[in-house]
Amino acid sequence: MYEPGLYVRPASEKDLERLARLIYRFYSFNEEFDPAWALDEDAEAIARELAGEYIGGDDLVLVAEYDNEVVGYIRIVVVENRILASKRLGVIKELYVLPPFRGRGIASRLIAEAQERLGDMGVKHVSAEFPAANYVAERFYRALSFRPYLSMYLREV
Amino acid sequence: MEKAEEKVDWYKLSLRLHRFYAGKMETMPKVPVRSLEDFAIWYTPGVAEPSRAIARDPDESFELTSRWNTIAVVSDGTRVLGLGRIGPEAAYPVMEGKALIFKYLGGVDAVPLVHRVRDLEGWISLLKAIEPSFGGINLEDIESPKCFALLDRAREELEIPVWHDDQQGTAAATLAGLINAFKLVGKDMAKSRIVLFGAGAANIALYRLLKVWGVPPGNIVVIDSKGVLHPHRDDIDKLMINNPWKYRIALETGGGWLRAGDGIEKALEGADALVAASRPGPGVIKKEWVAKMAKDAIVFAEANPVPEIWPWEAKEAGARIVATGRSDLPNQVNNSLVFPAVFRGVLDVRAKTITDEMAIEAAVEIARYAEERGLSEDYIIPKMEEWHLYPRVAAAVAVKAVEQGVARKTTTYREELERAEEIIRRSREKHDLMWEKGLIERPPEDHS
Repeated sequence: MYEPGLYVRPASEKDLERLARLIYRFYSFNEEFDPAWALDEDAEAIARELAGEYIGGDDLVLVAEYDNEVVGYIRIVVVENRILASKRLGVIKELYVLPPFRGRGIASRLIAEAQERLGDMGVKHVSAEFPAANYVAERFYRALSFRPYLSMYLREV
Repeated sequence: MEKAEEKVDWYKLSLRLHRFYAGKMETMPKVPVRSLEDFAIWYTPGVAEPSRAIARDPDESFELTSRWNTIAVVSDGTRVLGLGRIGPEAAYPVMEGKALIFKYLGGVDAVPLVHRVRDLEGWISLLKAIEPSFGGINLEDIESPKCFALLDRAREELEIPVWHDDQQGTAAATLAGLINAFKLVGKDMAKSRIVLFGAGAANIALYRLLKVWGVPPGNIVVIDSKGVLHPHRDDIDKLMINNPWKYRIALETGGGWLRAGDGIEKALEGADALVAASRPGPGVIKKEWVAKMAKDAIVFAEANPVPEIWPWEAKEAGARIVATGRSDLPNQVNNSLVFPAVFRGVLDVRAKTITDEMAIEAAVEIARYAEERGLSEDYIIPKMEEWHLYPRVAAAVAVKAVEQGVARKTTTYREELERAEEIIRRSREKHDLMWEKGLIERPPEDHS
């Protein structure tokens, strides 16, 4: 069951300000989990640049509009690996819904819509990246039938 | 100003008597030892037969051993009274005191169990490991937010009732008081604005009970040290990870009628009731804030030893009904009205858990008891010495457990009322008899 009044569509120029805000919030949230996620001091300005690059860029960037207000977004990067039978993999790099609008299935809806578009592009798998300590994200993706697929470790150089 | 502050030096007296008695509880047989031959019944070889019966059906342990009436009072000593993280050994006197109240008011045998496990997983395995010894578990004085996850998990994974008194006990006692306070001022609680100040164990549990009771979440605001729990708060994403209980409240209430960043002062404007369970006062809640509350305001200031605002200050500011956590002031919101009776009830029907509905049932019965005796502004909740209360609450809780399908045994209200009365009476009489006979020693300075 999806919320009435919810509309998912590709991000466009008019979403710039709102998208920039969501990107910034997504990254400042991740800062919580590991020092390597610490933000640049100009993060807010950079988020704005990123929003500009996302709109009309190569990645699949969708926004969720609720009552004519952009309240969430998803950014998926498609990566290629010729040696694999599946060839192409969609990777959810960023997914964020504003807190007052959570619990209404908006994030799942963003994923479902993105998945449909990936399918049209012939992509067979979609994966999700999130900080290892984000147990809420882990629970969320597991509930949507995602399974552990890739581990990523990190250390200081 | 501090009218209630003089009198007895309880601290000094308590330390002296604890040293004199060297603890408060001991174990006593309840079967006859007519001659040493009786040990062949109570111990080997006879005892092998009850053991075999339990091995065939572990639920028989509730019928053939003292398990049915024995609970553990478990603490890691991370948040003891207002004293903070003082360690398990230092928590022991408190757990033993709790055991004494359990026995005296509820006829429940309670074993203090303090330990050094701090992490959640360790705690859960500890509780599961000791489960076969007990008919229930009372968690006590555990730091927040660990206590929430612990209670949630333990309720899910154990087949005996697990209760965290600082959450459910305080919340149920508060709810009982609120029910009568609203009755007295003639307002509908479900349509009123309720402010919960302090987002620790008690108020987070109270929020849940209020919701189950029927107060719409949007009529409640919960305020922590950083202001109102609100979906637009700057640290809301961090809360999702670090304190999902506060996070859920922020989302469910939507911050009530407030804006992100608002604090207690703003929250109290036009509010019908305030439940403060925060830090010792006085002066934590200011008179001028209470003055801005709605007509016939209800103020519960539950911090100990000194309430967030003195009752007379709250009344001067226009509050009509004031409750505190203190026994020397009117309207004491007291867990002791709740936990001995709740456990009496659940143990008697061999319940597997204590649901929120059962906690609410306890609150409703407590409220009803006071109402039957005649409510007034200084009597919205019964006093601890009204001992007919306990069997009634036990009966209400037991019947609810049966109704909800969480009891191993069935009962009726009347049957449980009589059983609980009998068990509690016998427990008190045994104590009183030992006291009269001098088997409980008289302390040196006692001349009674």
